[in-house]
Amino acid sequence: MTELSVNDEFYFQWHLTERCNRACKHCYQDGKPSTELSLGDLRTIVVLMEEAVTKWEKKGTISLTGGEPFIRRDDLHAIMDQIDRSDNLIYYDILTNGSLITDREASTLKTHKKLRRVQVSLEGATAESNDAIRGPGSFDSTITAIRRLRAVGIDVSVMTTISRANRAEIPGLVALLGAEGVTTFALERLIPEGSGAGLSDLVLSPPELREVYRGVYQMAMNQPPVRILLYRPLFALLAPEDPTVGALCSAGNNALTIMPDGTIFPCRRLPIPIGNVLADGFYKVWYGSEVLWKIRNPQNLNTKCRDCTLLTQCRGCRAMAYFTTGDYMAEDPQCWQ
Amino acid sequence: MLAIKPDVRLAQAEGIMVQAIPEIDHYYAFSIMGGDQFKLNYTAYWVLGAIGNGVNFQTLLDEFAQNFDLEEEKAKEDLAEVIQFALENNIIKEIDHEDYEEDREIREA
Repeated sequence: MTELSVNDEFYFQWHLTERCNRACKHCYQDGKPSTELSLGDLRTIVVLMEEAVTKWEKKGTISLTGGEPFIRRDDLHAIMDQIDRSDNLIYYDILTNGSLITDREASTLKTHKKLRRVQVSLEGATAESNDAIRGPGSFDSTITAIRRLRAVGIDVSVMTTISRANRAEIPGLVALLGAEGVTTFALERLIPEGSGAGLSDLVLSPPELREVYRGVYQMAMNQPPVRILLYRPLFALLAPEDPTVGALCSAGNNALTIMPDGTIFPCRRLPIPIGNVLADGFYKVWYGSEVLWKIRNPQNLNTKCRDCTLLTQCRGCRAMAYFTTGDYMAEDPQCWQ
Repeated sequence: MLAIKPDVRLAQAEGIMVQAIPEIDHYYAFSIMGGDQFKLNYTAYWVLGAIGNGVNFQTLLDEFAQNFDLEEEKAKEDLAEVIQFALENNIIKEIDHEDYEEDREIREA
């Protein structure tokens, strides 16, 4: 399976449930219970996704997640079966904490022809550093899941949420992931929202983030044992001439997030409801949302971002702006430019 | 050129949304029913906005000529081109007088 260009892809991040068997300190969920759709409604959403990407002449990609998506294991597999049969939904990833992936589950996952990767999360290269954020036992559980998935030939991606608590862990993580045969390593910044709303003290300052990103960039350029993904806002500041470094935020551009009750957000990290997929469909939301139109117009950005020479490559993270200032069009508070 | 009677009434078709990012000169019409999307120029965008929920052709023509500072014949030619495109793509529709009055009453209520 090949990577798609942003011009070809429309991405859905689909949360099937908010239920989770972990309680990570920094989670963007707020821990409140949420209505879940029936399997029939989930199937309808797949049909609507397929219709939309076909109309838009895009290739649909999906991340199936939660909460912990394997809590709805049977429905998850039913949805995967349906996507496997679709024409223009070309692949999906599963974002999971890995704790419910048994050897048998890994073998079953391998039978799905459009499963591209399974993504798990680690916050540190040791049990001590990881479990301080994700809870006791989570490091061993995640490493076990990686090994089970790799044993059946499934590509694994690892995501780390970078903060002051774990910024020193990155070199160790890169070495660990290489040794475990992980395919890709992605970093997201800690955003003080959901359960992590009280963790503002752990958010990296602009100089601290610059230092972390420089280190990550240097590792990525020096043939690391795991592929490090750099297509996130602000990475562009490090190498503006390199198109593989940095990316515009996909919110309003080529992505939507669907919550367990069908509510649509521009991005999971920017939880502003802009409609409901079952009540409104994708077209009404994508074409009519004032929030999306505001995000799409770069002239609505505040002065620092609007006047930046990297406007066509970056524009920062709208969620970080929102949870730090209350204004999703404000400058990215971690920008060091 | 499309022949349009002066008293024909036009309105945006059901489920049509017109959007703009004028700062970067981007104009669009969308169908939230079928998902179709059309990139417009500013003239077409203005015409669709002016048609809105209903207007007769002569009124539209007068406003169009005034807004773009055109002679009537030139205005009629340009406007007909936009309307023909919009009718062919179900972005607008012709409405009869009763429909128009009914729509207007609803709007004014």
